[in-house]
Amino acid sequence: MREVLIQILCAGVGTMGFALVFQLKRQHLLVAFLGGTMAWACYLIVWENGGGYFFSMLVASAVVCVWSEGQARVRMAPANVFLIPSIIPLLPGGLLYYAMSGLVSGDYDQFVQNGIATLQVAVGISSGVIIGSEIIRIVISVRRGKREERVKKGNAEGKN
Amino acid sequence: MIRTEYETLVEYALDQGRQMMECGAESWRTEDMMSRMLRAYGMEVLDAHVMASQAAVSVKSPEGDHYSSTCAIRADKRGTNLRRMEEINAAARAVCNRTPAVEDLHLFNGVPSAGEWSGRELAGCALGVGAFTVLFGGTMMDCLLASVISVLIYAMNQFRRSHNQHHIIYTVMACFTVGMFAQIFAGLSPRIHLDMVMIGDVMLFVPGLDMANGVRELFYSDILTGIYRMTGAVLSAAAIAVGYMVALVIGGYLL
Repeated sequence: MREVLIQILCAGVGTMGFALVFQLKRQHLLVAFLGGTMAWACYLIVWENGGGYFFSMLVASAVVCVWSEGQARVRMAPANVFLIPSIIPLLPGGLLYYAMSGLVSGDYDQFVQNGIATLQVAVGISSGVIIGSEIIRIVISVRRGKREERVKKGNAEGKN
Repeated sequence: MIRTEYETLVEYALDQGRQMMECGAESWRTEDMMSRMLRAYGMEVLDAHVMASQAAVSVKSPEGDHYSSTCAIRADKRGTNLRRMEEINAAARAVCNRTPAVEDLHLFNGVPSAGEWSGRELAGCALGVGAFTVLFGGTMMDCLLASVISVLIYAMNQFRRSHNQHHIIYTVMACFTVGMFAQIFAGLSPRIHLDMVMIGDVMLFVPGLDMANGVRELFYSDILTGIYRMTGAVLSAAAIAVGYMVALVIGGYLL
Protein backbone atom coordinates (compact mmCIF):
# COMPACT_ATOMS: atom_id res chain seq x y z
CA MET A 1 0.00 0.00 0.00
CA ARG A 2 2.84 2.35 0.94
CA GLU A 3 4.48 1.70 -2.42
CA VAL A 4 1.25 2.50 -4.27
CA LEU A 5 0.87 5.77 -2.39
CA ILE A 6 4.48 6.72 -3.20
CA GLN A 7 3.83 5.95 -6.87
CA ILE A 8 0.69 8.08 -6.94
CA LEU A 9 2.45 10.93 -5.14
CA CYS A 10 5.40 10.73 -7.56
CA ALA A 11 3.01 10.80 -10.52
CA GLY A 12 1.47 14.00 -9.14
CA VAL A 13 4.80 15.66 -8.38
CA GLY A 14 6.21 14.63 -11.77
CA THR A 15 3.16 16.03 -13.52
CA MET A 16 3.56 19.29 -11.63
CA GLY A 17 7.23 19.40 -12.68
CA PHE A 18 6.32 18.96 -16.33
CA ALA A 19 3.56 21.55 -15.95
CA LEU A 20 6.29 24.00 -14.89
CA VAL A 21 8.33 23.03 -17.95
CA PHE A 22 5.26 23.70 -20.12
CA GLN A 23 4.88 27.10 -18.38
CA LEU A 24 1.50 26.39 -16.83
CA LYS A 25 0.18 29.28 -14.75
CA ARG A 26 0.78 29.03 -11.01
CA GLN A 27 -2.93 28.93 -10.15
CA HIS A 28 -3.36 25.73 -12.21
CA LEU A 29 -0.46 23.77 -10.69
CA LEU A 30 -2.65 22.04 -8.11
CA VAL A 31 -5.03 20.95 -10.88
CA ALA A 32 -2.05 19.49 -12.76
CA PHE A 33 -0.94 17.65 -9.60
CA LEU A 34 -4.43 16.21 -9.09
CA GLY A 35 -4.66 15.27 -12.79
CA GLY A 36 -1.40 13.32 -12.58
CA THR A 37 -2.37 11.49 -9.39
CA MET A 38 -5.78 10.69 -10.84
CA ALA A 39 -4.27 9.33 -14.07
CA TRP A 40 -1.86 7.04 -12.25
CA ALA A 41 -4.44 5.90 -9.66
CA CYS A 42 -6.92 4.97 -12.44
CA TYR A 43 -4.17 3.16 -14.33
CA LEU A 44 -3.18 1.16 -11.23
CA ILE A 45 -6.78 0.25 -10.37
CA VAL A 46 -7.55 -1.07 -13.86
CA TRP A 47 -4.14 -2.73 -14.19
CA GLU A 48 -4.56 -4.55 -10.86
CA ASN A 49 -7.90 -5.86 -12.08
CA GLY A 50 -6.32 -7.43 -15.15
CA GLY A 51 -6.88 -4.53 -17.54
CA GLY A 52 -3.61 -4.88 -19.46
CA TYR A 53 -1.71 -1.98 -21.02
CA PHE A 54 -4.28 -0.95 -23.61
CA PHE A 55 -7.37 -0.94 -21.41
CA SER A 56 -5.66 0.57 -18.33
CA MET A 57 -4.31 3.46 -20.38
CA LEU A 58 -7.61 3.91 -22.15
CA VAL A 59 -9.56 4.22 -18.90
CA ALA A 60 -6.94 6.43 -17.22
CA SER A 61 -6.70 8.85 -20.13
CA ALA A 62 -10.50 8.95 -20.64
CA VAL A 63 -11.00 9.85 -16.95
CA VAL A 64 -8.27 12.50 -17.12
CA CYS A 65 -9.75 13.90 -20.34
CA VAL A 66 -13.21 14.29 -18.75
CA TRP A 67 -11.58 15.89 -15.69
CA SER A 68 -9.60 18.31 -17.91
CA GLU A 69 -12.68 19.29 -19.92
CA GLY A 70 -14.52 19.93 -16.64
CA GLN A 71 -11.66 22.04 -15.29
CA ALA A 72 -11.50 23.92 -18.60
CA ARG A 73 -15.11 25.01 -18.17
CA VAL A 74 -14.66 25.96 -14.52
CA ARG A 75 -11.43 27.88 -15.10
CA MET A 76 -12.23 29.29 -18.57
CA ALA A 77 -9.12 27.89 -20.24
CA PRO A 78 -8.54 25.43 -23.11
CA ALA A 79 -8.84 21.78 -22.02
CA ASN A 80 -5.37 21.04 -23.42
CA VAL A 81 -3.90 23.23 -20.68
CA PHE A 82 -4.95 20.59 -18.13
CA LEU A 83 -4.89 17.50 -20.33
CA ILE A 84 -1.31 17.73 -21.63
CA PRO A 85 0.43 17.63 -18.22
CA SER A 86 -2.01 15.06 -16.82
CA ILE A 87 -1.26 12.38 -19.41
CA ILE A 88 2.51 12.69 -18.96
CA PRO A 89 2.75 9.91 -16.31
CA LEU A 90 1.03 7.54 -18.73
CA LEU A 91 3.56 8.05 -21.53
CA PRO A 92 5.49 4.88 -22.37
CA GLY A 93 9.02 6.13 -21.58
CA GLY A 94 10.09 2.95 -19.80
CA LEU A 95 8.68 0.61 -22.43
CA LEU A 96 10.34 2.61 -25.21
CA TYR A 97 13.67 2.37 -23.38
CA TYR A 98 13.43 -1.40 -22.81
CA ALA A 99 12.36 -1.98 -26.43
CA MET A 100 15.38 -0.07 -27.64
CA SER A 101 17.66 -1.74 -25.10
CA GLY A 102 16.49 -5.15 -26.37
CA LEU A 103 17.32 -4.08 -29.91
CA VAL A 104 20.85 -3.01 -28.92
CA SER A 105 21.60 -6.15 -26.88
CA GLY A 106 20.15 -8.45 -29.54
CA ASP A 107 17.34 -9.63 -27.24
CA TYR A 108 14.63 -9.53 -29.88
CA ASP A 109 11.97 -11.00 -27.57
CA GLN A 110 12.42 -8.05 -25.24
CA PHE A 111 12.37 -5.68 -28.21
CA VAL A 112 9.16 -7.12 -29.69
CA GLN A 113 7.35 -7.43 -26.34
CA ASN A 114 8.15 -3.89 -25.24
CA GLY A 115 7.66 -2.47 -28.72
CA ILE A 116 4.15 -3.92 -28.92
CA ALA A 117 3.41 -2.75 -25.37
CA THR A 118 4.58 0.78 -26.35
CA LEU A 119 2.16 0.75 -29.26
CA GLN A 120 -0.66 -0.53 -27.03
CA VAL A 121 -0.01 2.26 -24.55
CA ALA A 122 0.13 4.91 -27.29
CA VAL A 123 -3.10 3.74 -28.91
CA GLY A 124 -4.74 3.29 -25.48
CA ILE A 125 -3.94 6.87 -24.41
CA SER A 126 -5.15 8.33 -27.71
CA SER A 127 -8.34 6.25 -27.69
CA GLY A 128 -9.02 7.25 -24.09
CA VAL A 129 -8.61 10.93 -24.95
CA ILE A 130 -11.02 10.55 -27.89
CA ILE A 131 -13.59 8.70 -25.76
CA GLY A 132 -13.31 11.30 -22.98
CA SER A 133 -13.76 14.17 -25.46
CA GLU A 134 -16.78 12.48 -27.02
CA ILE A 135 -18.42 11.89 -23.62
CA ILE A 136 -18.08 15.59 -22.85
CA ARG A 137 -19.32 16.57 -26.32
CA ILE A 138 -22.45 14.41 -25.88
CA VAL A 139 -23.12 15.75 -22.36
CA ILE A 140 -22.79 19.35 -23.58
CA SER A 141 -25.02 18.71 -26.59
CA VAL A 142 -27.73 17.06 -24.43
CA ARG A 143 -27.62 19.90 -21.89
CA ARG A 144 -27.77 22.52 -24.64
CA GLY A 145 -30.74 20.72 -26.23
CA LYS A 146 -32.59 20.66 -22.89
CA ARG A 147 -31.87 24.35 -22.31
CA GLU A 148 -33.15 25.29 -25.76
CA GLU A 149 -36.26 23.18 -25.21
CA ARG A 150 -36.88 24.97 -21.89
CA VAL A 151 -36.48 28.38 -23.57
CA LYS A 152 -38.90 27.36 -26.35
CA LYS A 153 -41.44 26.15 -23.78
CA GLY A 154 -41.06 29.37 -21.85
CA ASN A 155 -41.62 31.44 -24.99
CA ALA A 156 -44.68 29.38 -25.95
CA GLU A 157 -46.18 29.80 -22.46
CA GLY A 158 -45.44 33.53 -22.61
CA LYS A 159 -47.37 33.87 -25.90
CA ASN A 160 -50.32 31.93 -24.49
CA MET B 1 -15.21 49.45 -41.37
CA ILE B 2 -12.97 50.16 -44.34
CA ARG B 3 -11.01 47.70 -46.47
CA THR B 4 -7.66 48.05 -44.64
CA GLU B 5 -9.39 47.44 -41.32
CA TYR B 6 -10.94 44.22 -42.60
CA GLU B 7 -7.53 43.14 -43.87
CA THR B 8 -5.92 43.93 -40.51
CA LEU B 9 -8.63 41.94 -38.74
CA VAL B 10 -8.12 38.89 -40.96
CA GLU B 11 -4.36 39.07 -40.46
CA TYR B 12 -4.81 39.42 -36.69
CA ALA B 13 -7.05 36.34 -36.54
CA LEU B 14 -4.56 34.36 -38.64
CA ASP B 15 -1.64 35.44 -36.48
CA GLN B 16 -3.46 34.43 -33.29
CA GLY B 17 -4.23 31.07 -34.91
CA ARG B 18 -0.59 30.59 -35.86
CA GLN B 19 0.55 31.37 -32.32
CA MET B 20 -2.07 29.02 -30.88
CA MET B 21 -0.81 26.16 -33.09
CA GLU B 22 2.79 26.92 -32.13
CA CYS B 23 1.80 26.55 -28.45
CA GLY B 24 0.43 23.04 -29.02
CA ALA B 25 -3.31 23.58 -29.65
CA GLU B 26 -5.39 21.28 -31.86
CA SER B 27 -6.25 22.52 -35.35
CA TRP B 28 -10.04 22.30 -34.94
CA ARG B 29 -9.86 24.43 -31.79
CA THR B 30 -7.74 27.00 -33.59
CA GLU B 31 -10.14 27.10 -36.55
CA ASP B 32 -13.03 27.61 -34.14
CA MET B 33 -11.23 30.44 -32.34
CA MET B 34 -10.40 32.27 -35.59
CA SER B 35 -13.95 31.89 -36.91
CA ARG B 36 -15.50 33.20 -33.68
CA MET B 37 -13.27 36.27 -33.74
CA LEU B 38 -14.13 37.10 -37.34
CA ARG B 39 -17.87 36.48 -36.87
CA ALA B 40 -17.86 38.83 -33.87
CA TYR B 41 -17.12 41.65 -36.34
CA GLY B 42 -20.02 40.67 -38.56
CA MET B 43 -17.99 38.80 -41.14
CA GLU B 44 -19.27 35.67 -42.80
CA VAL B 45 -16.58 33.01 -42.50
CA LEU B 46 -16.51 31.14 -45.80
CA ASP B 47 -13.58 28.99 -44.80
CA ALA B 48 -11.14 28.80 -41.91
CA HIS B 49 -8.73 25.97 -42.38
CA VAL B 50 -5.77 25.19 -40.16
CA MET B 51 -3.24 22.46 -40.81
CA ALA B 52 -0.11 21.62 -38.87
CA SER B 53 2.01 23.67 -41.26
CA GLN B 54 -0.41 26.30 -42.62
CA ALA B 55 -3.45 28.39 -41.74
CA ALA B 56 -5.85 29.91 -44.26
CA VAL B 57 -8.96 32.00 -43.89
CA SER B 58 -11.50 33.30 -46.37
CA VAL B 59 -14.27 35.69 -45.30
CA LYS B 60 -17.00 37.94 -46.68
CA SER B 61 -17.62 41.34 -45.14
CA PRO B 62 -21.16 42.71 -44.50
CA GLU B 63 -20.55 44.97 -47.54
CA GLY B 64 -20.09 41.84 -49.68
CA ASP B 65 -16.31 42.10 -50.24
CA HIS B 66 -14.18 38.99 -50.03
CA TYR B 67 -10.91 38.78 -48.11
CA SER B 68 -8.59 35.83 -47.82
CA SER B 69 -5.13 35.28 -46.44
CA THR B 70 -2.77 32.44 -45.49
CA CYS B 71 0.18 32.05 -43.17
CA ALA B 72 2.79 29.35 -42.63
CA ILE B 73 3.22 27.64 -39.27
CA ARG B 74 6.88 26.89 -38.80
CA ALA B 75 7.58 23.39 -37.48
CA ASP B 76 10.74 24.54 -35.65
CA LYS B 77 8.73 27.14 -33.69
CA ARG B 78 6.23 24.57 -32.41
CA GLY B 79 6.36 23.43 -28.81
CA THR B 80 4.23 23.31 -25.70
CA ASN B 81 3.54 26.61 -24.00
CA LEU B 82 0.39 26.29 -21.91
CA ARG B 83 0.59 29.79 -20.47
CA ARG B 84 0.66 31.39 -23.92
CA MET B 85 -2.11 29.08 -25.13
CA GLU B 86 -4.32 30.24 -22.27
CA GLU B 87 -3.43 33.90 -22.87
CA ILE B 88 -4.33 33.70 -26.56
CA ASN B 89 -7.58 31.92 -25.74
CA ALA B 90 -8.47 34.60 -23.17
CA ALA B 91 -7.55 37.36 -25.65
CA ALA B 92 -9.79 35.78 -28.31
CA ARG B 93 -12.64 35.60 -25.80
CA ALA B 94 -12.16 39.26 -24.88
CA VAL B 95 -12.04 40.31 -28.54
CA CYS B 96 -15.28 38.40 -29.24
CA ASN B 97 -17.05 39.95 -26.24
CA ARG B 98 -15.88 43.56 -26.64
CA THR B 99 -15.14 43.79 -30.40
CA PRO B 100 -12.56 46.56 -29.86
CA ALA B 101 -11.58 48.96 -32.66
CA VAL B 102 -9.22 47.30 -35.12
CA GLU B 103 -6.37 49.67 -34.25
CA ASP B 104 -6.65 48.53 -30.60
CA LEU B 105 -6.37 44.81 -31.38
CA HIS B 106 -2.65 44.80 -30.65
CA LEU B 107 -3.52 45.55 -27.00
CA PHE B 108 -4.99 42.04 -26.79
CA ASN B 109 -1.86 40.32 -28.12
CA GLY B 110 0.06 39.76 -24.91
CA VAL B 111 3.79 39.21 -25.00
CA PRO B 112 5.15 35.89 -26.22
CA SER B 113 8.03 34.66 -24.07
CA ALA B 114 11.44 35.16 -25.63
CA GLY B 115 12.63 31.70 -24.63
CA GLU B 116 15.20 32.96 -22.13
CA TRP B 117 16.51 30.87 -19.21
CA SER B 118 13.89 30.36 -16.57
CA GLY B 119 14.49 29.06 -13.04
CA ARG B 120 10.90 27.86 -12.95
CA GLU B 121 11.34 25.68 -16.06
CA LEU B 122 14.67 24.40 -14.81
CA ALA B 123 13.17 23.44 -11.44
CA GLY B 124 10.27 21.80 -13.29
CA CYS B 125 12.70 19.71 -15.35
CA ALA B 126 14.57 18.46 -12.29
CA LEU B 127 11.39 17.89 -10.25
CA GLY B 128 9.51 16.10 -13.05
CA VAL B 129 12.39 13.86 -14.08
CA GLY B 130 13.28 13.03 -10.46
CA ALA B 131 9.70 12.12 -9.56
CA PHE B 132 9.22 9.95 -12.64
CA THR B 133 12.51 8.14 -11.94
CA VAL B 134 11.14 7.13 -8.53
CA LEU B 135 7.73 6.32 -10.04
CA PHE B 136 9.27 3.82 -12.46
CA GLY B 137 11.20 2.10 -9.66
CA GLY B 138 14.41 4.12 -9.23
CA THR B 139 16.16 4.81 -5.92
CA MET B 140 16.85 8.24 -4.42
CA MET B 141 20.36 8.06 -5.90
CA ASP B 142 18.89 7.45 -9.38
CA CYS B 143 16.43 10.28 -8.80
CA LEU B 144 19.24 12.67 -7.92
CA LEU B 145 21.40 11.74 -10.90
CA ALA B 146 18.46 11.88 -13.34
CA SER B 147 17.60 15.35 -12.01
CA VAL B 148 21.19 16.54 -12.45
CA ILE B 149 21.24 15.23 -16.02
CA SER B 150 17.89 16.94 -16.69
CA VAL B 151 19.62 20.27 -16.01
CA LEU B 152 22.05 19.41 -18.79
CA ILE B 153 19.11 18.56 -21.07
CA TYR B 154 17.53 21.92 -20.27
CA ALA B 155 20.78 23.71 -21.15
CA MET B 156 20.94 21.83 -24.47
CA ASN B 157 17.31 22.70 -25.19
CA GLN B 158 18.00 26.39 -24.54
CA PHE B 159 20.95 26.20 -26.94
CA ARG B 160 18.66 24.62 -29.54
CA ARG B 161 16.08 27.39 -29.09
CA SER B 162 18.61 30.17 -29.44
CA HIS B 163 20.39 28.59 -32.44
CA ASN B 164 17.28 27.26 -34.20
CA GLN B 165 18.77 23.78 -34.20
CA HIS B 166 16.81 21.06 -36.00
CA HIS B 167 14.50 19.26 -33.55
CA ILE B 168 15.37 15.71 -34.62
CA ILE B 169 19.12 16.33 -34.63
CA TYR B 170 18.81 17.94 -31.21
CA THR B 171 16.89 14.92 -29.86
CA VAL B 172 19.51 12.47 -31.16
CA MET B 173 22.37 14.54 -29.70
CA ALA B 174 20.65 15.16 -26.37
CA CYS B 175 19.72 11.48 -25.93
CA PHE B 176 23.27 10.47 -26.84
CA THR B 177 24.69 12.88 -24.25
CA VAL B 178 22.23 11.69 -21.59
CA GLY B 179 23.11 8.07 -22.37
CA MET B 180 26.86 8.69 -22.09
CA PHE B 181 26.59 10.65 -18.83
CA ALA B 182 24.28 8.06 -17.27
CA GLN B 183 26.70 5.26 -18.20
CA ILE B 184 29.71 7.11 -16.81
CA PHE B 185 27.96 7.70 -13.46
CA ALA B 186 26.54 4.16 -13.38
CA GLY B 187 30.09 2.88 -13.88
CA LEU B 188 31.30 4.96 -10.92
CA SER B 189 28.74 3.67 -8.44
CA PRO B 190 26.97 0.29 -8.33
CA ARG B 191 24.09 1.97 -6.47
CA ILE B 192 23.04 3.75 -9.65
CA HIS B 193 20.65 1.90 -11.96
CA LEU B 194 21.39 2.91 -15.53
CA ASP B 195 17.96 1.97 -16.89
CA MET B 196 16.08 3.96 -14.23
CA VAL B 197 18.13 7.11 -14.81
CA MET B 198 17.67 6.87 -18.58
CA ILE B 199 13.94 6.16 -18.30
CA GLY B 200 13.49 9.18 -16.01
CA ASP B 201 15.29 11.44 -18.46
CA VAL B 202 13.60 10.02 -21.56
CA MET B 203 10.28 11.43 -20.29
CA LEU B 204 11.49 14.89 -21.36
CA PHE B 205 11.72 13.71 -24.98
CA VAL B 206 8.68 11.44 -25.38
CA PRO B 207 6.41 13.10 -27.99
CA GLY B 208 3.20 12.75 -25.98
CA LEU B 209 1.48 15.89 -27.27
CA ASP B 210 2.02 15.09 -30.96
CA MET B 211 0.84 11.55 -30.40
CA ALA B 212 -2.35 12.45 -28.52
CA ASN B 213 -3.23 15.39 -30.80
CA GLY B 214 -2.34 13.41 -33.93
CA VAL B 215 -4.72 10.54 -33.20
CA ARG B 216 -7.45 12.95 -32.16
CA GLU B 217 -7.12 14.87 -35.40
CA LEU B 218 -7.21 11.68 -37.44
CA PHE B 219 -10.38 10.74 -35.57
CA TYR B 220 -11.97 14.11 -36.36
CA SER B 221 -11.17 13.54 -40.09
CA ASP B 222 -8.35 16.07 -40.11
CA ILE B 223 -6.25 13.47 -41.87
CA LEU B 224 -3.36 15.60 -43.13
CA THR B 225 -2.68 17.29 -39.80
CA GLY B 226 -3.09 13.96 -37.98
CA ILE B 227 -0.57 12.23 -40.26
CA TYR B 228 1.80 15.21 -40.00
CA ARG B 229 1.76 15.04 -36.20
CA MET B 230 1.94 11.26 -36.01
CA THR B 231 4.91 11.24 -38.39
CA GLY B 232 6.57 13.85 -36.17
CA ALA B 233 5.93 11.67 -33.11
CA VAL B 234 7.36 8.56 -34.80
CA LEU B 235 10.43 10.51 -35.96
CA SER B 236 10.97 11.84 -32.42
CA ALA B 237 10.65 8.33 -30.96
CA ALA B 238 13.13 7.06 -33.56
CA ALA B 239 15.51 9.92 -32.71
CA ILE B 240 15.34 8.99 -29.00
CA ALA B 241 16.07 5.36 -29.86
CA VAL B 242 18.99 6.26 -32.16
CA GLY B 243 20.56 8.64 -29.59
CA TYR B 244 20.30 6.12 -26.74
CA MET B 245 21.36 3.19 -28.92
CA VAL B 246 24.52 4.90 -30.14
CA ALA B 247 25.35 5.90 -26.55
CA LEU B 248 24.82 2.34 -25.29
CA VAL B 249 26.91 0.83 -28.09
CA ILE B 250 29.80 3.32 -27.68
CA GLY B 251 29.55 3.15 -23.89
CA GLY B 252 29.61 -0.65 -24.07
CA TYR B 253 32.98 -0.50 -25.87
CA LEU B 254 34.58 2.30 -23.90
CA LEU B 255 33.34 1.83 -20.33
